[in-house]
Amino acid sequence: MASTTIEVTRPIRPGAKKKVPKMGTFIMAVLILFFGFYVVYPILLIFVQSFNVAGVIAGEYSFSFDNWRKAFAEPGILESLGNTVLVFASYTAVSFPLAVVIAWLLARTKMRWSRGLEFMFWVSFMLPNLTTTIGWTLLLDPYFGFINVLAQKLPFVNGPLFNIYSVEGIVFAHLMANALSQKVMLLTPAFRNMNITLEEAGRISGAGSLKTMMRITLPVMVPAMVVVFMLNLVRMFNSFEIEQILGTPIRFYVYSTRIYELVRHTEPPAYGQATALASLTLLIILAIIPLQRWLLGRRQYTTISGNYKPGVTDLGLLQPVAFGLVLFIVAMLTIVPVLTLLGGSFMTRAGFFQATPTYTLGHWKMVLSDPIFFRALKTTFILAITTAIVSPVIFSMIAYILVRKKWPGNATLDSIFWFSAGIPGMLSGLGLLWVIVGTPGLSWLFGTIWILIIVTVLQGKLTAVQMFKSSFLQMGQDMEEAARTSGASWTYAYFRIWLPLIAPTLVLIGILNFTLAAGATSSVILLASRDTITLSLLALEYMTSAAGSSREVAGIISLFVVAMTTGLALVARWFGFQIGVKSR
Amino acid sequence: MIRKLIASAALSALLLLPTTASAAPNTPEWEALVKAAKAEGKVEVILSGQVPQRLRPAFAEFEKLYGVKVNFQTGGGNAHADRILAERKLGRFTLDVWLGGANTALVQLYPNKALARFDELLIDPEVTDTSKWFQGKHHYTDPEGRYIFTWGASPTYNIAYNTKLVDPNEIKSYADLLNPKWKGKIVSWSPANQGTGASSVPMFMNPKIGEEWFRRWATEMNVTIVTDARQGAEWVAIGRFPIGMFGLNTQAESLKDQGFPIKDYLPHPMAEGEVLSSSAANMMVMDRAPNPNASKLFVNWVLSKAGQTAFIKAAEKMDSLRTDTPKDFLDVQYRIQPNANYIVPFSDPEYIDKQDEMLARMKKIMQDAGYR
Repeated sequence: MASTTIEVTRPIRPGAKKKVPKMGTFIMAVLILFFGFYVVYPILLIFVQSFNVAGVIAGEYSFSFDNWRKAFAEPGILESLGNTVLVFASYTAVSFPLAVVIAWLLARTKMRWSRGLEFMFWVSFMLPNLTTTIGWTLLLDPYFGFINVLAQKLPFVNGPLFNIYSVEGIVFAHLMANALSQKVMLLTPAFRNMNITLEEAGRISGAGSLKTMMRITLPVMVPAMVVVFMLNLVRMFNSFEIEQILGTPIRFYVYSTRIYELVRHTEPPAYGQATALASLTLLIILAIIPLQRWLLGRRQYTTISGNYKPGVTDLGLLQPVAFGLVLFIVAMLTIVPVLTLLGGSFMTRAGFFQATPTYTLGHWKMVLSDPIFFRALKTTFILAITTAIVSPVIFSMIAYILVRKKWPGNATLDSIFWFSAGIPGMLSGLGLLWVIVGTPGLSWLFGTIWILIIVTVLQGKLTAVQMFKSSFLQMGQDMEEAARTSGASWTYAYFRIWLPLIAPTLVLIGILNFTLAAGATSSVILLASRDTITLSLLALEYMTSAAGSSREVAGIISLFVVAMTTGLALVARWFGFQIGVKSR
Repeated sequence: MIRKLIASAALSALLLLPTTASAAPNTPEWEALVKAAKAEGKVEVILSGQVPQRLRPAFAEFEKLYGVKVNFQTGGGNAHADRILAERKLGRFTLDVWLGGANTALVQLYPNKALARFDELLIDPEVTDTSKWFQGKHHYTDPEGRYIFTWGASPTYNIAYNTKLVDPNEIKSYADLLNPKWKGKIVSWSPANQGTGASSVPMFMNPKIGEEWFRRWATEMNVTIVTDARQGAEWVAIGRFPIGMFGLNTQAESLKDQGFPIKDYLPHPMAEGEVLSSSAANMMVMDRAPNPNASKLFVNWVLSKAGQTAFIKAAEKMDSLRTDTPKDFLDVQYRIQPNANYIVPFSDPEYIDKQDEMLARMKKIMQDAGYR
């Protein structure tokens, strides 16, 4: 077909510049489009479908508010919401200040084996929540719990000392699972990025260690603390395992178990109602985004600049006490679950010495003779290692752009990352499935390892971007400016200046995302095929089987995941120390 | 002497032959099916639910006999159904046969027209001869009676008990469980759950038990509800609760085998009658199955005498609805007794129609009693 082009020449006013979009605008547009598609589109699909009361998969549509009405009309829904807030507030009230103190002790004081102790918090985080809960149940069950049985042998003890089947028990189980370890893990690198001269100035002015911590260290750590708190807040409705095991027998119901039941134990899954309930998280996010921007934008948080001097404080006589306290907490967090997992794998029934025979190698034989296990091990390793390498690089660069560049669309991109937490994993996996199925050109990804890699790389985006942002907020602009003035390119400055400074966070995010990738279930279950099954999916298959030994077998698979993660964490930390700034 | 030796060797050889070898039909249609199935080389199967997941060892016999590989996947039915239906939307057809519970099939696969007509696939005379099946008919669990084939069933056992704390003769009927003596001493899965519905709904519909029994059980007995069957069964095994109900039996059996003082069933039938439950002993073939000949061969083999014998051997606690399979390796309590008067809900259209309604009413009872 012939076409005619009409050229219109507009007169150029003298002195007026032709507006050409800058490279920054282009990069930001690409990022917003990509993450918008990946994050917002599935959420929109799920929301639209929550109003569809006809067959979701069949592609039929009949819109009404029925799902929303039914979801919020369930008896006891307000009570369960109140219970969720109660449990969250309780364990956060304990874990947050405790984590801040522990991070400060590990990073800012002359603590013996501080790196090793910090690493043990990582190990605690890597251990499955379910194992930790079951481990503590074996100790604190009022009827047969080992500690209670032992305590009742004392002459002055009548009845059980502890009851894990209680609200206090649920809060305790959260603390022992990862409520504390995750916060310590995320906060400690930020505390390490502190210029000792600031604290020295405080001390020269006559302040003691505690006053220096309260008046100097903590205020400049606000970005990291705000991010860690808010990351926990948006995941308030994600936890259900602990409440299900410890809460159901005492009729203590929480909001998240209701969402879980609607998705997993309803035929067909009531995705619409689950979405309606999960939408409360979006309200929290709507409040968080402006609050976080206001908190972080109202003052300067630079702790690392050209005159950065690493160093730590000596607590004197209090140092051994602090060491003992941290060691005790680390032991509580790791010994019970590791013993449950490792010891239980050799027992006919984990934790039950009455079983005949008490010990067996049968569970190990079952795992090692399953041909799918080795395939799953290989897939998991590929997924997790790719995620651990790629995700810190991508997200550190995005965080750099969000903090250092004032490109248009900055706030939109940041909000997109927050919105990714708006829907729990069990629903976002479904949204992603619909996106892949419904988008021409993407369907070839279905069932391949590539889609799993994309999902696992991107699933830790919120934590990664926010943690890198808080790291960049701690760093002064002067070093990069000096490098650029001396003729260094942006990439040279990034790799020679920023990378060593953010090395602890890089390693942390790498390991965190490795752990998430290796343990991913709900985000990948609908996208994996038999050829791309992962260890965590295999463990889930065993867990859902009714066989008597299923939990022990699933535990052994978890052990492989933990061993793999620990091994990588050790290598990554060593590498991080090599490229990072030495603080001692 | 030589004749005797030859005769005894021949007899031994006959006994060693797999039963199927002699039972397979010798028709051109069958030969063509076997040839086409061998060319496809495999059949893709989903095993969803407790019973199907135990069936893996049975497939070796089929593979050996026909040289067709059985590729299986296990796991929860819901996730598989979501994935399979999404795949089908993309025009991908990766699954041949589904062995599992009827719920997922009835509410997800059947309404989405993902299932093939099962009755049209049956060609082996040994399978199509309904006189060899329980009640002289094939049992289907879908409203049309053509898609979801039920191959097995067993008397339902809803009660496990601690053998040191309970005299089983004290519980002869469900009414006995409402004795105040057992108040606060029962642990259970919720009977309103989809998973326990197969045994609780027939009780609910049984006029001798019915809604009133459930209401009293939930409101008067201070029952402890768990969502983890293992946790509940372990509590019965160590004596924390003397009685466990609804869905704890598989775990109770495992604990019994490990030497705990627990029994997964009462030694006598309950006075209100016994329910036959098919649990997850159902089989469906997917519409547009990628290996149609292998699928057809597979289902005909599964439903043959040899296939059913292999299945119930592997499943351990599920009887076949074929009446001619050997039962001696099956514990007595799991066998379908020929003269017993069972309630048979799985192929009863009224039961199939009303199941959701009954579960909703049970859920309401549980909620009114303070369980969520």
